[in-house]
Amino acid sequence: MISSDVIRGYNDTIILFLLLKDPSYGYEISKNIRELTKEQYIMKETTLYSAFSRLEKNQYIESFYGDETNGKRRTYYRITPLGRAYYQEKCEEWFVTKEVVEKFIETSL
Amino acid sequence: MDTIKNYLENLFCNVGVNEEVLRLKQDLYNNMEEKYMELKREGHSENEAIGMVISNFGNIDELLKELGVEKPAAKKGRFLSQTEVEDLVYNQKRWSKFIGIGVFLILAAVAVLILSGVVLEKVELFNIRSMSVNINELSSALPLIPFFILLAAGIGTLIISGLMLEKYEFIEKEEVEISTSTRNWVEKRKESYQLSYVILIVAGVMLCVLSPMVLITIATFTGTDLGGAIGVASLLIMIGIAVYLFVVSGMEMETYQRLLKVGEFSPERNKENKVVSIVAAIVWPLTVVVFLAWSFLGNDWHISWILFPIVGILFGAFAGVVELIQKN
Repeated sequence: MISSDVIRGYNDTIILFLLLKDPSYGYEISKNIRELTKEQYIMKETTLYSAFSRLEKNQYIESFYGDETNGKRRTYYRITPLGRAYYQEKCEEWFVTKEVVEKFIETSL
Repeated sequence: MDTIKNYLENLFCNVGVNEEVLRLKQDLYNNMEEKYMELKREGHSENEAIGMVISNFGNIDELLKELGVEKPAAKKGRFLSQTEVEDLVYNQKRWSKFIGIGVFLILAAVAVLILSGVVLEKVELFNIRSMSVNINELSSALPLIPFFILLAAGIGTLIISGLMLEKYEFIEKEEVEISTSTRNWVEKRKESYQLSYVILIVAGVMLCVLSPMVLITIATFTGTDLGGAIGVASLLIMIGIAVYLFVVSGMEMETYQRLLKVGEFSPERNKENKVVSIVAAIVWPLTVVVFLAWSFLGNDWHISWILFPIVGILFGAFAGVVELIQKN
């Protein structure tokens, strides 16, 4: 399991990636993260919803109510064009970050 | 499922309610419920599933910070833990008894003074007159000895309990925050104390109402100075007991009310009480001085006690007027 401190700067990127194709909702996103990372990263509920709130404030995502299923109305999120641009930016930033950090990583100790 | 619902409700209990918060709470609940269902389907027991859902919930402060809603508890005054509150309640209760005893001792001192003065006068009339010359001086000093012993004990007790309670004065001046579970604890205690509180207050009031009747009855039946003195002394003792009951029950209830911030213990009300308490701090010692001066100089013990009820009623009226003015 990855510590949440290490990955903090990329929570937004992870969520935006999962919204690239289709709109989704809280539980589905957290489940997808868990499955894609083979349970190496489980995003806490509060982290997920803080990210939703932050991304929505910055207009990178929009929320809307889905159809009611078993009496429950889910809040769905969809990515905006601004969000896609931001996602691109974050990906480029990651390449640089990775390159920089790797210069200091020694595996043959 | 209720466990999860309660868990969320507890986390949000101090958060102001608005549409955003309500929606967030509902979303979080749906999420957790869905996760719980899935864990159950995967074959986890109910307890396991709840444990896993809650352990993956994270830190509520992170979320509230993002939403811009701060827990009111974080902004306002001093936070008291359960142990601190228990300590406060225990000590307030303990030292309030000493305050009550202190006041009682002072009233008992006055009662003893009145009584011994009259008794000695009688003794003097029958026996001592025939004895040596110096006895006269001695007899006028004698009633003062038990009076001063009791007075000193009373004042000492008041000073000690005042010093011991100084540590807890902050609940009168500062905003105090307690957790939900502590609040429940205080509420439960307050509830279970309610009946005793009412009984103690009623008993105190009855003693106050009955005390002049006792005085009048004894004084009329005996028709002597001694009878009058016994009457006054028993009036003072009854009032002393009543004051003890008021102090002990009042302070315990007050502690609960302050902790729960109900009724008159809002910060504004504290200011009003301050004016009254400053005046009280001047008026009452002054009354005692005037009482002692009048009684000793004029030797008017039989009537000078009337000073206390008169000042008491006037002071009550003053406190009422102050409250009225400040309310408007």
